[in-house]
Amino acid sequence: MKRVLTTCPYCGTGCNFYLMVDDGDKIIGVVPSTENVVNKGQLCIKGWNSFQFVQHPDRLTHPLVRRNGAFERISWEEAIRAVVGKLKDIQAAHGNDAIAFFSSAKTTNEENYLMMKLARAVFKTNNIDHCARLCHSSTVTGLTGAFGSGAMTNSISCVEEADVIFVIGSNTTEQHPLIGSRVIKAKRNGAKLVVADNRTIRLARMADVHIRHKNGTDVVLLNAMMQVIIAEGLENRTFIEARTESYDKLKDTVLNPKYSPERASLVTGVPADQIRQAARMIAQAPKAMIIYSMGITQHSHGVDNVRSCAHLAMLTGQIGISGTGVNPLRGQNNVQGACDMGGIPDVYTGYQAVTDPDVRKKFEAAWHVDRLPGQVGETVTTAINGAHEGKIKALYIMGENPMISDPDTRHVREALQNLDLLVVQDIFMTPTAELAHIVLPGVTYAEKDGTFTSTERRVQRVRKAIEPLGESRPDWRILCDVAREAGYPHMAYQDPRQVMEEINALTPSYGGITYDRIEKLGLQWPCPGPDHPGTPILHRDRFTKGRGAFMATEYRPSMELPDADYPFVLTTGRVFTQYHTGTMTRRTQLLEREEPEAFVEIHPQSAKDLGIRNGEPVFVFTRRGEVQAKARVTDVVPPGVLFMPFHFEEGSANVLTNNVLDPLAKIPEFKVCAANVRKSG
Amino acid sequence: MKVIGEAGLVELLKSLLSDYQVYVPIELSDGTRVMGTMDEGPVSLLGGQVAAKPTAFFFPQMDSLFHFERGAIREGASKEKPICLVGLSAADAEGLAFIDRFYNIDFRDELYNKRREHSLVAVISGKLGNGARFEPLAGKNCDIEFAYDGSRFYVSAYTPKGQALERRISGEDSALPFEHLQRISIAQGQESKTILRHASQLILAGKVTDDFWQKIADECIACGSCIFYCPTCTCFDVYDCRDGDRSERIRCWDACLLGGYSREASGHNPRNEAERSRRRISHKLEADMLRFGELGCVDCWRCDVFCPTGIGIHAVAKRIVDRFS
Repeated sequence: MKRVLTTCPYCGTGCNFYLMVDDGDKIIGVVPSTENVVNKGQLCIKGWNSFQFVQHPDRLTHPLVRRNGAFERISWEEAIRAVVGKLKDIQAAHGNDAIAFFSSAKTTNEENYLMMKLARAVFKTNNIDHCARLCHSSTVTGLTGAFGSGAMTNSISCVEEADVIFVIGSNTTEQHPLIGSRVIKAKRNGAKLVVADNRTIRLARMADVHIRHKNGTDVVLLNAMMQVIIAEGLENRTFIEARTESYDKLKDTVLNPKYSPERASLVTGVPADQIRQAARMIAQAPKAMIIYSMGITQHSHGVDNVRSCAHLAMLTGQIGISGTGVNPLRGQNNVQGACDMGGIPDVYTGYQAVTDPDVRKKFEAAWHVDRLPGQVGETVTTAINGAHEGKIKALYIMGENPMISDPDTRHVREALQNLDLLVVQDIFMTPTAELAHIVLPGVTYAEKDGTFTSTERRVQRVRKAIEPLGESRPDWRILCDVAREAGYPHMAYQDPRQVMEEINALTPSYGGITYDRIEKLGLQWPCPGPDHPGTPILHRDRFTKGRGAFMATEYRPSMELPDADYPFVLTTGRVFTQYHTGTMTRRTQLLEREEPEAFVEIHPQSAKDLGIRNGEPVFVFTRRGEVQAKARVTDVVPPGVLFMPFHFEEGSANVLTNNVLDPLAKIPEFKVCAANVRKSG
Repeated sequence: MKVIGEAGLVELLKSLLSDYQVYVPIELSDGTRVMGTMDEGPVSLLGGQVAAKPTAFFFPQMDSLFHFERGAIREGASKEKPICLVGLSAADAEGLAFIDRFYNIDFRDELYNKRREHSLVAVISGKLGNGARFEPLAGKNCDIEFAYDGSRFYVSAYTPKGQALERRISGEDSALPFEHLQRISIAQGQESKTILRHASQLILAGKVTDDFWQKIADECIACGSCIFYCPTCTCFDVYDCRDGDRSERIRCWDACLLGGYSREASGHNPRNEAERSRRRISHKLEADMLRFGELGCVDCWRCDVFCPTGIGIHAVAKRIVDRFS
């Protein structure tokens, strides 16, 4: 028996545990790490059950090609040759930017780096993006604009030191359980808790103030809170003067009468007194921290929402010290890393801009190419639109399932079916892979080495515990094989450690993060040198960009609000025991048992008006489509709001969602669209 | 009585390798202490109770009952040597006794017994963790006990198997230091379960209200850690994992505090959240008391140490006593 220390493949908290492998190379359990500073011997229910899907019979074990409507097994040589040949043909016929790559927030840093190197150095396109587009792209844009850096400003341990915790748009105990648990503990130890979410989530039960604002009205709420703070003289003038710029822009915006608590109350549905109470609590706290997630980001005005959170922190000076900060909780195990590695269309590693000629020269030299493309590429969402229009002819998708995760499934299906080439590299035959021309079998986190970067910017090791199943190959190897077949000789590595060495040399923030240094415990970037201890708290003395910037941020309503035909707001989200498109959790006994079916939460009054009983199947429909789900009649949601998780292929919430994007971040508005519901009998 | 030093004990354990799979406390690569083989990591006999429960060697997290393929059942042949576990705490040994009874009292669990019946179990107790911890002596529930006084182990054998092992130890000395350890142990033992016993009485007397349990349930994130760490928890699920025309029946750890554990096919759940939180605690402090006359909690403190929200059994017991006594 052996035990192999690794990082959890589920959420961005980044818990560490040992996979227990018996002498027959079967993974038979997990042992939490007691020494890891983040999880300290704890795990959530998903972490405890994070191994059953690895050796599941459904695993893809050899390359496949679709011929005459059915998948046939082919050799790796044939598969790679076909992928490269077809990609090159399409580029020759339609231009380099007719192809796009979707990297994976589930794969390692090394793999994300290699995929973006493949796209740029080998295939000469900046069309590389990944699912951060769908979740925190508005964070990256919003916080980079305000602070110069788009990442969580503080560390997970800061939750324990906060006097006031403001949780807005995050169901923390379900989506980041071991961060949510810290909030519960902090509350018990005397911290005050303000929760802004119109669902009565677990944290709301114990909140000092539970704000149930209407979906999509966050800017009104936050601007009104800031008006209260300024009107009552509670702003941190010292901080504003010393550390920020353009304060006038903020003042001019939020002091407008339309953001008075009384007027805000009409828009948000929140009592004016509550707005005042929450504002005072945060402003007057010795240490107040903001925790946010999808409820802030996944809107057509997601960037505005993020900026407003940044404004609140700067206005009150609640940033740059422990127990404070603006803390976006990154969802995937490695979405932070996928961004850090430049798996996005406008930057290389460490957010170095592709449009900067000096930066391009550096990477051209490192990658031994004459010229790298200098135009910002397509995002996941615009690439799908581009495929639909026929502009994008080929997609190479690694570890991503747009058929379930992207908005407006019909649109996604049409887009993918319109492609001349769809290559899907994954571990299971997902609904996306089913549409592929070529399927390449990658591996899980248990079958390869590498690193993941957690939401608190901690780069941690992932270690191989068993050999790849069947003929599946570590994703980094597949990417190197593709590069070699394409005639590019500079993607030949012995192991992922070598890839990280290359990343170290090109990425100041990762400069000192080597495998040797993170053998026992990961390091938080920025970590520029081999002796640097890593950085738990950002923006201590100055913001990354110098002074924090306020902007004039006005409220723009959500793009599709209820009307006579579709009188409900449909909002989407997640549940504790399932994870995203369910490819892993639905193949795990305990997790699938807990929540096996698609459901829709509906308030008892709404249910009564429609004659809907708890547990009966209903149809939820929007302008995009219709889905059957079980009615869950509960007052967790307010009247007029429907909540659906997006984990269930057979009752897929994204059949219903609205493919409208934030103009800057291109993130879809998953959190608000207009819907209706009817009995199915 | 017989005495042995740390190095001597390691040698003795190595000599058992020809007859047993020997598991002792070791340090894994980041310092996490678990039971493992002596070549898996540095041996760490003096660090006190390990984190992951040693009873998992007899009731593993995932276990294969049998395969069946085209009408034929194939059970796994167990040609393995019997298990030798050295380094249980007294609490773990009590937990082992508890689950020995559970797996045999009404029904003989073959899968458990297959691993348990020829095993050798040894407790390590006394002044551990560099003097920072005193772990109570077991006095029973194991084959042999090694009680450490800071420089040597004092050996007590409780079964013929234990006595056979004891006979192979040559060192002898006065039993006085051992008696001293016993006295400390007894004094400590009175204290540590007091709060649990008091809470148990209050629960049995019907004093603890539903709203109390709802408050606990509110603070529970249903991670399952309390149950997965608990030596006396034996919840399991059985399921078939199908691969074409081949199927494997698997037993895996389950957790009674999960909703799905009792949810009926209609969707109705006879236990609400407050009920589920209550049952986890009251099983150990109420039900076991009624069934066996003793608490189902062996005082290992793992759920208190590892519960992310701080509602382990001692924490909850204290809240019960503070509010209802």
